[in-house]
Amino acid sequence: MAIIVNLDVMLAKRKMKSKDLAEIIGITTANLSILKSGKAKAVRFSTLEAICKALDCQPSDILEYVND
Amino acid sequence: MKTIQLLRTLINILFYTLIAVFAIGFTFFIILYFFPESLSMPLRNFSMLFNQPFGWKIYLIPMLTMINFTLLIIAVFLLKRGTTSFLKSDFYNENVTTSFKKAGSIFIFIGVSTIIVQLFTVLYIQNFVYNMAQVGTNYLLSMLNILAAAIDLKSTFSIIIGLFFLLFSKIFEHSRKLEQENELTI
Repeated sequence: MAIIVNLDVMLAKRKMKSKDLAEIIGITTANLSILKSGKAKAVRFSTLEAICKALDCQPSDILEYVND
Repeated sequence: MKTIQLLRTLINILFYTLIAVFAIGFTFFIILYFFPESLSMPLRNFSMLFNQPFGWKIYLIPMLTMINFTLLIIAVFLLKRGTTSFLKSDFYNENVTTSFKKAGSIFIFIGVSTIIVQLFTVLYIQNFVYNMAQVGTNYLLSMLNILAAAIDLKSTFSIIIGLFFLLFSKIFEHSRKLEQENELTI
């Protein structure tokens, strides 16, 4: 997949657990796991905004484009 | 929900009625062929079917009717299977799309095969009659008559229903993809 989700890296940098992030942004851990594993088909702006707010980062820190 | 339940009930009634008719017809023909003496006189007259002088061509229409009837039972069974998940409000599973696709193809086959056989039957009968009577005819008028006799409303409707089911199948397949995408949108 051309878009890589670097949520794991950001979580490690902020020393935050997936469960806590899921709780803060208001999604289930299952959905967060889908997002982390790159299985998600799309990300809502509201979710992205909540993640950026919770992790104090930019969208570019979470999403990365890699040419296949 | 009431509409789905009504549809399901009607499909169930149709399916079991078709099964019963098939079973009765099959049993009747078995008895007629092997034990005709056990039948009453008016029913025994049907055994003329097995010893008539016209050859195999006369069997074409009854055989096709039997095949089409069997296929109709299969198509109704597929619709029954397809609508089962509707009751659980699960419209977009693979079972629905495959069942509708197969049922649609069967309805189209029934319609097309009936039209083709009717076309050949009318051609055959017309040739037979003209050869017997030795009369000339207007070619265009004759072809129009043949087409009008062969393409009946029932067969055309069967093809249209089949195409609709194929279309439904495509729509449900597309909807299933959209639902999956929606579920995977975080």
